[in-house]
Amino acid sequence: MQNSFEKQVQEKMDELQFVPTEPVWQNIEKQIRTKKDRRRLLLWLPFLFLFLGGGIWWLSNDNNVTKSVATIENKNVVEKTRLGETTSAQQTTIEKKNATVTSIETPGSPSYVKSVPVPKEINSASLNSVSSNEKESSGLYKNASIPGKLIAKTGVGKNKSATLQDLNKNILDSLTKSGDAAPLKNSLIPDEKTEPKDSITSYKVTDSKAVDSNKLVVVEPIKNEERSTSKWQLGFSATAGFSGIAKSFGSFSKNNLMDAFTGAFNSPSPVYRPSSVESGFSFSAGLITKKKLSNRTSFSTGLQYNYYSNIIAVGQMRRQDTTVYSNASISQSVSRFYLNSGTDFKDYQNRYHFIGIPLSIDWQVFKTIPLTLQAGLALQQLISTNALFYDARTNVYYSDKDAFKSTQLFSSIGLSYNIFNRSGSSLLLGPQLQYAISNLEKNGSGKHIFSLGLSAQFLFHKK
Amino acid sequence: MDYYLLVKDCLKEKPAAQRQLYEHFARTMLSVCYRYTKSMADAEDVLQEGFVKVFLNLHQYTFKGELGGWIRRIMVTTAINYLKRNARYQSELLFPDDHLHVVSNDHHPEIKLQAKELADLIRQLPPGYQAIFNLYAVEGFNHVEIGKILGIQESTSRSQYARARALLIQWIEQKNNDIKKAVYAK
Repeated sequence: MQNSFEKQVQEKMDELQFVPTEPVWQNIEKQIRTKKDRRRLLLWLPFLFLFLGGGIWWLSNDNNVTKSVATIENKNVVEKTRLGETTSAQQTTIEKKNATVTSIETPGSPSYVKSVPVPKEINSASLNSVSSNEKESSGLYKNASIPGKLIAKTGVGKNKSATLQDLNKNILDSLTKSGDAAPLKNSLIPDEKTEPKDSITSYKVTDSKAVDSNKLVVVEPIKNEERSTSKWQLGFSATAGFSGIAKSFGSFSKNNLMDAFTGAFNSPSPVYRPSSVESGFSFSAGLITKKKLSNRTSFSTGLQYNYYSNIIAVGQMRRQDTTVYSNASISQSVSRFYLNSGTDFKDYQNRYHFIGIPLSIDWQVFKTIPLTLQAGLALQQLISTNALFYDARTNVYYSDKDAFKSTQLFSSIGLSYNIFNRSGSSLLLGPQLQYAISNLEKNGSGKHIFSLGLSAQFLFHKK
Repeated sequence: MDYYLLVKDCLKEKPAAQRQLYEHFARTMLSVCYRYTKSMADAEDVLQEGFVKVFLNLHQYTFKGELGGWIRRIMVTTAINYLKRNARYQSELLFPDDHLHVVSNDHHPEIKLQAKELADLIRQLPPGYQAIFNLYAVEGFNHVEIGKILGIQESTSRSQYARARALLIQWIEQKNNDIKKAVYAK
């Protein structure tokens, strides 16, 4: 290939040396620190999502337990009921400073506050009657002195009978006159037969009609089954796409340019070039269970089978005992191997079969559009593989499952769109990218499995 | 020097080891970058970019082959990418598919020039010729590989190399004559 001219040029160029200026190293140092930090951040991103999701879930649960009191701020009540406009001086007691109107405590169970439209004319009537009861130093009146809250109890004592129950009865009376009572009737008055007298009662309004400024705030009863935002939802998940080997985070190209250079330089020991790795088919299928953490966040896990493959070009297969090296120091004898030389090259498909447990946090990006961003981790166990391991020393490929790390941690990120939602069942479709954080090979060659595909999740109706 | 320990220490992100690795290879690698670019500032840019890649991808070095060779490969790749990316070189980095008749010219002068003088002559070649000449004559790639690296046809690489070589031989002969004249003048 080369004659003496090229040799002379090479020799001359080998003599050439320059001293770089100091800022070069300073810039290199600065850049490697920044880029490494950025890489670490990318690797930790799924953990961060999980942590944040867990935090949101924990907080929402914590709120459900501790927020057993539905509190209506004084200001809102005053504004919405317009007490000042219609009631007498007695009602001004309720309006006072921190005194709030309703707050019903039911320890251990959360309650919800709803606004009910109430015709103007009933406000004064009902509140008048409440006020008159309050005048009799009712529990309601007494408790109104607690800043920010007013606690109503029933059946505590005859003298302490000024309760929201009375309030509601008064409202109903007024509503009967105005013809609006029907929707409220069943909801405002607790069932005395079923409610124990000494129990703390809360109230529920099922009809809230149009919302206007004339609202009276009523409290919804707490049911244990309503407390948890959702149950675990079961379903199937499947993904299909392609997979390959990435040499480092972010480099998914099938032909790494650096491979093309291998062996081109003069080196005392022969350096062979392994085959480039082409992408192969990948799919996964499994069971999934999902739990809603908040209106827009959910957590999912399950059990999944994953198949990854890639294609390499290998030479002829030989059946003879030979010594190969899985790394610089460990050698072993194999009886079957493929050459990485000669002309008779054929495609060979490396297949990897994994069983894994995926953990994912899903976040609905927009309130109205059912587009979900998914990020998660999956712990996967290699159950079998026919993948070939390349030994650069002997320039052969051989099969050895032990050369691969059997437990792999994958990170995943994806988008999914809810394309079907009927009677609680839903079908989500979208792209998904998976990247193995762990090295594929035990010798630390920096190879990582990745896959890109279309993911589908079918979730059954919650019962 | 024990490259194994040095690499392991660099992987542990020990600043002293990183500095040592840089110091050890920087001079040679700067000369590689110098041959592919037109100014020392550009060469230093490539060197900087190349070493950042070296440190970020050092975990991929598996001690198969020389560490110097591995770093050099990265420098060459970085230099080629720099030429393709940089507007100053981009416009001149065109490789028309003119399959001119390549004259096999086995005649070549003895190179009496200093290494830097020869490198400066190579740098006077148009960027396309310069890259192909460096890849073929210095780095030792064949034209198929050069075709893959630069995204051109093998025949184009072959013809461009022949032109570059002829031009360079002509310049070297001129320089040799100048040296002779200077000697006679003395």
